[in-house]
Amino acid sequence: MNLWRLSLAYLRHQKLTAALNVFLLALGSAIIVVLLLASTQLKDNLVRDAGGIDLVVGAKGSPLQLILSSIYHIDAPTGNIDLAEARRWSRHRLVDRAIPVALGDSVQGFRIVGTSDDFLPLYDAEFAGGRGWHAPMQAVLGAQVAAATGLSVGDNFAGVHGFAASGHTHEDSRYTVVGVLAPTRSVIDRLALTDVRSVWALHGGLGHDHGHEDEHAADDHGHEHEHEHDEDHTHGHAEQPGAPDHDHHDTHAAVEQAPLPSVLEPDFPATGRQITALLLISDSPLAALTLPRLINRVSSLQAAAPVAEITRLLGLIGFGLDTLAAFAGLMIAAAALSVFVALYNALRARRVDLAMMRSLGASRVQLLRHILLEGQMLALGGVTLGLLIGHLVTEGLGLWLQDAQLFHLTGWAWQPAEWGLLVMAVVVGLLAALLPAIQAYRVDIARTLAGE
Amino acid sequence: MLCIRDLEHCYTDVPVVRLAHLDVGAGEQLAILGPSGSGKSTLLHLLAGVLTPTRGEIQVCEQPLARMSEAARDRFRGRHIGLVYQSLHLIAALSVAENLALARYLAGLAPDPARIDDTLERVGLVAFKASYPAQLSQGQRQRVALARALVNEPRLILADEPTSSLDDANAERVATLLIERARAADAALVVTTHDRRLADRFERRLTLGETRVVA
Ligand SMILES: Nc1ncnc2c1ncn2[C@@H]1O[C@H](COP(=O)(O)OP(=O)(O)OP(=O)(O)O)[C@@H](O)[C@H]1O
Ligand SMILES: [Mg+2]
Repeated sequence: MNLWRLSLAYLRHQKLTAALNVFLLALGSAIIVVLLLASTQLKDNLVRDAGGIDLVVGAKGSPLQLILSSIYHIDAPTGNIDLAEARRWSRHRLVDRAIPVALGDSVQGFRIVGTSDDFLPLYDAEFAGGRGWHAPMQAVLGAQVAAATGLSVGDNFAGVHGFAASGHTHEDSRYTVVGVLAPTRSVIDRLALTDVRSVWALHGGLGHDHGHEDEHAADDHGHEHEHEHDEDHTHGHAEQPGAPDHDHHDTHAAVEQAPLPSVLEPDFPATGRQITALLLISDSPLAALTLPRLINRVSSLQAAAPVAEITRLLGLIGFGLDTLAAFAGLMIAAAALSVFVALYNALRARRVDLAMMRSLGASRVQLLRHILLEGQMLALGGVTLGLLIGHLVTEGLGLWLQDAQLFHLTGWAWQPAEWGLLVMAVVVGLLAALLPAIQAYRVDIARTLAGE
Repeated sequence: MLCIRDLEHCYTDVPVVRLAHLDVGAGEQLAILGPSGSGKSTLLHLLAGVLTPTRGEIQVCEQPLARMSEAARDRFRGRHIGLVYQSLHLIAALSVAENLALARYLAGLAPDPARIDDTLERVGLVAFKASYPAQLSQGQRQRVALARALVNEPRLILADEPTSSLDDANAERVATLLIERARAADAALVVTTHDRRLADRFERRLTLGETRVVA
């Protein structure tokens, strides 16, 4: 027997009350844990998915929509922009790297992103198998795409027009999987990557509306041949005369030796070609300040900074999170009050027990500690259960979000602020048990036992 | 063992207990008799150090109870005095064995499951060691309280009306237990009672109100 077991015995004796108090505390702290884990991981995800991109240049529209569609791949694109104009900005002196993004198709709900080789290093993506594309219609799959579709290197698939799971499929020209990426826990896991030229091959340079896409579907090959013809001409006297860009997907042999040069190279024919957005990276802090204003003013394009948009988005979400957190805090306060009332009421009935313990040799301090301990056990039990539930719920939420192809969320992470919850439990337990404990300390053994 | 000089206790202005002289040695047994309200319980609580007398001195094992600090008196009682209250005061949240274990723990004694079993064995309750007080009969509860008072091997055993709520068979059993256990441990035993069944088994009796020891 010791004080710990004595307190436990009393809690067991009042199972229902104890369970109710633990449950109240657990619920409040579980909500806080979920909010804590979800909000920090959401922020981490947003920052990681931004991949160090300083600016996104795209068609005019909502800057948030531009960021969501071309970086996070969760919204419809704002429109297309001319490659020529995009290329002009990629040459700006404040820009260190520029990466094209062309959207339009998907595979089993995962977006196919036409881009350049520079896209992979943004997310430190490494190959789990295969290699990068060396020709159009070759695709590299993100880890989650490969896992969900079951496609692996050497397989081929048809892109589906649009971003829904079903729709018009480009059956006539199929993609070949040349590489599969290792998981990165970033947005790239959910993308199928290919060269911009593949998207152009299927969409005729992306130059026309989706509305009359189908009419032109038959001509697509025609366009393609024309464009590639152009390309061959220009690249004939480019820096790789030995490796002519016969990127027609039938002539593999010569093409597959080296990566394709970026379509942003100045000698690439831009006429009639469009991309969805241009991702810009700059070493200069000035870029994020001056470029958007400049681009928005002098061109028909818009530029948006991911960091600014994330901050704005988190600000909007943050308000909701604060409200929920306040609600959870209120629940914890109610739980603390409930623990207090339970201990206080129980003490009336226990006054005789406490006096009897004194009669058996207990000191006043022992009785004080006995009641404080009981408060601590309730509070710590509640918060510990809350932490457990919070982490489990977060993990469940993460699995569900994974199915919904949204951001990565895991319950198996620990936030330093959770230590704060445990400290709070100790304080709550102490506060709730303090008054009853002091009463236990003051129990008069003569009046209680000899007065009866 | 137990030594009283010029004892007087008043709750209000009127003295409830007045005792000039009383000695009980180790192994001696005394029954305190008297009608209801004559101050039997009060005297027993005084002997246990639960109440502090208005006047006079009480010594247990050569220790003056009144001059100890409250904490020291509680510790001393826990260790050396086995007290059975008229209304038992078993801890309802604890099992029978745990009630005994608590008595050892609070007296600062090492846990001793073997001794607890042994004590329960002697009062015939080993089978009920895991039961809770609410699940026991009044006679069984009385024996649990007795076992709890005995488990620390006290030098002085005090029992307040230990047989008043029991039938003949149970009263007989409890009386025998008390007398035999006290004798076996060579402890001093003082019981209060208005129950003739119990009083008759004591050679030495003190009837309150008369302040006279019947030898
Ligand atoms: N806490 C108290 N405050 C005031 N008076 C008290 C208190 N306790 C007992 N008394 C009074 O002291 C007297 C003796 O009480 P006590 O309980 O000692 O009697 P008792 O002989 O044990 O009676 P019973 O046989 O009914 O148990 C009674 O008149 C009672 O009213
Ligand atoms: Mg009495």
